[in-house]
Amino acid sequence: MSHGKGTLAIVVGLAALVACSQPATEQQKTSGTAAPATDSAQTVVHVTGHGTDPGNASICESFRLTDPQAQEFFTKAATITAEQVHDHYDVLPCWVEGTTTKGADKQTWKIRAGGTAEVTAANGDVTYLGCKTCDDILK
Amino acid sequence: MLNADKGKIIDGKITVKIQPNLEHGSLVAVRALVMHQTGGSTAAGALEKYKTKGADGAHFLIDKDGTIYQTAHVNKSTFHVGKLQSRCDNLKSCSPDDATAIQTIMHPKTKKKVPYSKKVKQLHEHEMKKAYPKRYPSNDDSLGIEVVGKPVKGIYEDPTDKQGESVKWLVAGLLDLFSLTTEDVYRHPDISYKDATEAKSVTW
Repeated sequence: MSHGKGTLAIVVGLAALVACSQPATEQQKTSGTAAPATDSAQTVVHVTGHGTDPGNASICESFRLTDPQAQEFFTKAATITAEQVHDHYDVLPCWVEGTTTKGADKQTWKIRAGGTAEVTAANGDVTYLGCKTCDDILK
Repeated sequence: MLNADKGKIIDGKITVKIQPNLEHGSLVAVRALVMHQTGGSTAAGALEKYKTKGADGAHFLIDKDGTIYQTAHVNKSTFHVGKLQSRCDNLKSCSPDDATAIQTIMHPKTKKKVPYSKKVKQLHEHEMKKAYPKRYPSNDDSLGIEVVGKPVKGIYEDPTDKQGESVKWLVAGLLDLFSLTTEDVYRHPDISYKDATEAKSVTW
C-alpha cells in the first residue's frame, strides 16, 4: 500500500533541514526551489531518553538511536493513520523519545523499534509516522 | 445460543455483510477470539477499506450504535492478528530448549546487527511451529472482532455502551458455539505487536 508523504510540520521542517544541509542541485540552482530563504530557523532533533512499555519487551530492550539516526528516521518516514498503524505495522514496546524544535515550536516524539513513531503536539494531539525502509537504523 | 450455516451466523442481531477480500483461505478451527479496535471512527470507513484486494480485517465489526456486522465467514481465515509474540517467553514458562531458541532469535550473537523487524518475523515463524495454546492464537485458528474506535490523543477511546453490550452478547454466543472459555479471548496487543491501548477498555 502507499503512504503519502505527510504534511506534518515536523516532517516538512526536517525535509527543509535536510535540504539546507545538502548542496543545491543544478535544477535547484536554476529554478530556485531549494529551502525557502525566509525559513531561517533550523529544526533540531534531539534524543532525550529511551524506555519500554509495561510488559515483556525483551525482543527490543537494547533499542537506542542517536540524534542523526532519529533525524534520518523522520526524513524517511511518512505520516500514516491510526488505522494504518493497526493494520500494517508492528508497534514494538521499545522506544526512543525526544524533541524536535524549530524556533519556538516544540514537539515530543517516540520512535519505536518496529518502525512507527508517535509525534505529540503541544495541544496533546498525536500524529503517527511509519517507515518501511528504516531497517538500517532500527537494529 | 448462536448457530452457523456454512460459515454464516444465523441470528437477527447480526447483519451479514461478507467481504470476500477479507477472506484468505479456510480456517483450520476456531480455538480463540481476538478483540480489536479498528483505529478508525466509522464502520462505513472500515467496510470501505475491506473492499481492497488482500484487505486486513476481522470476522465481525461492531459499530458505534452496537450494530454487529459479520464481515467474513467463521470458517474462513482473515488477516487480523499479525506477528505473534512468544507466549512462553511472556509467561516465563519456556522449556530450556525453547528458551534458548528464542534468545538466539532475540539476541543473535552475530557481528552484524539484525533489524528488529526481522527478529519479530523470525520469532513469529518460530511460534507458529507450536500448537495453540502453547502459542497465542493466530490467523489460522481464531476469529477476530473489530470494535469501531480510534485513538484520541494517543489513547484508544472507550467503546460506547451499545458496543459494550454487543461485544458481551457476541462473545458469549461465539464461546458457546465453538465450545471455548473466556480464557480463549485475547486483546490484540497482548498477543501481537500493537498499540498497548487498543481494546484495553473493551470487556466481555
